[in-house]
Amino acid sequence: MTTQTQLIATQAKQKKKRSSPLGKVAIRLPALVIAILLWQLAATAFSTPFFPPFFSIVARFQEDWLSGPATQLFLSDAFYTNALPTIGRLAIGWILGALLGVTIGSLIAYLPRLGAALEPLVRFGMSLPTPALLPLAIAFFGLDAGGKIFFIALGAIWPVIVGTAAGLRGADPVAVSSARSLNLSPATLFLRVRIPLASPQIMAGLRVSVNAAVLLIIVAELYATTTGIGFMIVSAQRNFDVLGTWSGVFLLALLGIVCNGLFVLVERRVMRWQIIPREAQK
Amino acid sequence: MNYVIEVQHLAFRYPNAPQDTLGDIDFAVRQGEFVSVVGPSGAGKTTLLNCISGLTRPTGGAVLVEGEAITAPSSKIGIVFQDYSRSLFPWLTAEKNVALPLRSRGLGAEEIAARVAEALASVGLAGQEKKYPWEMSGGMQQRVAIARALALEPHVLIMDEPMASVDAQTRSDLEDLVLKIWAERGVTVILVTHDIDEAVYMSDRIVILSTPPTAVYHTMEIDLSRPRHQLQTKDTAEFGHLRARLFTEIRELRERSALNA
Amino acid sequence: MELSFRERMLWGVVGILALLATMQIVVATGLVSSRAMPTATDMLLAFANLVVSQTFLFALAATLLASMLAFLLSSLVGIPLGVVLGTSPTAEKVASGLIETLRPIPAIALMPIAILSLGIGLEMKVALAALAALWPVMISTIAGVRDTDSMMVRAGRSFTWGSLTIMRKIQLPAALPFIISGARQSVSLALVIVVTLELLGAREGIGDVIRQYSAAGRVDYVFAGVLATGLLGLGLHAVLGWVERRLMHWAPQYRKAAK
Repeated sequence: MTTQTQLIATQAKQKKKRSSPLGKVAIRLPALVIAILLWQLAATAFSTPFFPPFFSIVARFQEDWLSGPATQLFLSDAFYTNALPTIGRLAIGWILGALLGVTIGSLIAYLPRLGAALEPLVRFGMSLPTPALLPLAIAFFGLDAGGKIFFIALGAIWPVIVGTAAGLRGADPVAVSSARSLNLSPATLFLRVRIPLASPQIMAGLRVSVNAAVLLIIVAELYATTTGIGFMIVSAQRNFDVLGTWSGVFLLALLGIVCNGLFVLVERRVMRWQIIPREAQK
Repeated sequence: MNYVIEVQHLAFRYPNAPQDTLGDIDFAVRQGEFVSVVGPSGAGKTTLLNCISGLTRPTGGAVLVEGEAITAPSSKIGIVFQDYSRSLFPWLTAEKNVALPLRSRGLGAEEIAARVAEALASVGLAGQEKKYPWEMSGGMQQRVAIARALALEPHVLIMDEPMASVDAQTRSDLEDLVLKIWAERGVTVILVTHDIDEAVYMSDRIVILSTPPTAVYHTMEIDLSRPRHQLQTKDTAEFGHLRARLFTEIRELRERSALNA
Repeated sequence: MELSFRERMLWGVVGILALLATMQIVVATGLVSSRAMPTATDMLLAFANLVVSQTFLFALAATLLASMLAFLLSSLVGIPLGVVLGTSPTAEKVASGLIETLRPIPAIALMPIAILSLGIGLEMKVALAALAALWPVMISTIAGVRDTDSMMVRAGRSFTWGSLTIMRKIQLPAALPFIISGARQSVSLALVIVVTLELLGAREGIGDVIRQYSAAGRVDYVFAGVLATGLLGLGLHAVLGWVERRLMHWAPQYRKAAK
């Protein structure tokens, strides 16, 4: 669990140092702009076949995904037919994995014998390169949406189980017993006291699982598909359509960035209460 | 007169600070002298030590070590920091901690080994060489830190509240150890402390600092006979008298600054 | 209610047996199609055959080689870069925009491009896995160097050391617990990426073996291969954890002696 505790500690530190959003952008943007310009310049100057200029890719990206009418929010038909299902599967798979993970993690925390019995499996799941489960998921559910959702849930579940179990087990006994003295019903005690107390570690687990889910949807997309972003990318790649390949890669990269960003936003909102008590302890 | 350290109109201001931390500090330390620096908290004692040892560049005035202006850390000065647990290296044993700075001095292996053994023995840590700092008590760790400074054979030993974070018994043991080392080696010592008894017990002279912008408020000669002894020396009427005087001076100083503020 | 070590082991064995028994029953009774899942006995038999086969051992060697090369590459780049960024707060702030944008990009997403430019062999695996493994080791190096106690640095300066010596003799060793725990994450990540790339069509390696059995419809060998991959991950974790504890015996979290 040390990695996750470290993770939380660094996050707390980052929060403490948070400065004005504008100042943050002002100091961070230049490196990004320079990197993009360097790419553009280098690609134009050396003109290698596989690394086209940045803005050529952006133009193709726009044509592929953002060329729709205003009524479709400017998103192209290709986006609706190929990208949206992918994103939907990612969301459903991850939510399924997260809910199951919290449930199983809670059961493990309350039933030590069950926890001990499941420990080998959980350890196995934590150290398994989860994409290896894909052939298994396909054997089970086939190549369609069900298989992909199952695959993502199966890969995203492990860190959530571990985070939830560790968070619930490690809850401050004083806080729990003082809450108990309030004569709360077991359900209220669990949902209003225990889960919030465990939430830093649950969040850490969820964060790892988001990254896992994004990795897995991309793996699922690139593995022998007949529709979706992956299919577009793979067919562009087979036709040596470098710009088309890059355009798809950009969409996948953007998927990673957006999912991560959304999670950070949610985490900040949910975990706001964490900051003050932790600062006061110091 | 043979001065080892001359602090001349030393001033220091942190960037963007409204006023000087150190205003105009002027004093000198003789060869072989034991000088304590005391002052109210916030007087900038550590900043003063950093300036004297060359760790911080003053914004005004100068520090001369054996007649030469100091601009960077000098091998003539050894420093014992207040927080031993943060200045010793936890990945090295006691002897390796002491040996580490010697390694970059171009000394032979035998010379290093001899100096390390001698330094550790003189702080009473013979036989503890292979221990890691975190396996030792606070007092022992501070001894390692003292040995590390001694092994460099400095002309001046600067100590920043070295006894601040140990218990009372360890503290008086450390005080006597420092006095013993000072007497045996003839090294000049500048000790920063906030403990009035300690300052009187240890020193030849006490430099009392004012509140910021800090200047030398007063200097007190301590002419108690040497060698000193924890019980006998502290029992004398003279000690009580000096102690009371120092206490009064510091209280006056505080009241004055409260009036000014 | 705390379980003793023996009880935990006992229940662990019970858990494994229950899992295998469930597999055996649901497949043998036809509840789950034998084309979707093997019986436990078939899986274990396949596992026994697989792990002693030359094909698998070569594949294992190929996977480990690619992972280790990727890890070395990421450390060679990540540690020096992390040291620079950890020493200079300004450099870190300036670079953080780039880092925070690039880090969430899954390295696997770049696979189609990497295949175009590097092919489907070792180079492609190493390049992408190194890219993924770069972040943990680099970011933990930044944190470790940045958080080195300022008192230690001052002690180093008082020895009249220059900043390079301080870096080498104080900041790097002080940051080592961070660097090593980051490196451990990087190794695991490199393995994950390499196996994934093999599953997706890179040449050689255990992922490649699993993919071929999958294409041939041999679920027993697919499950056996997944089992082997998981055990490999577990083994790697255990070995790296042991190395970390050995090297870092002085760091607070591993100390045996109390203060």
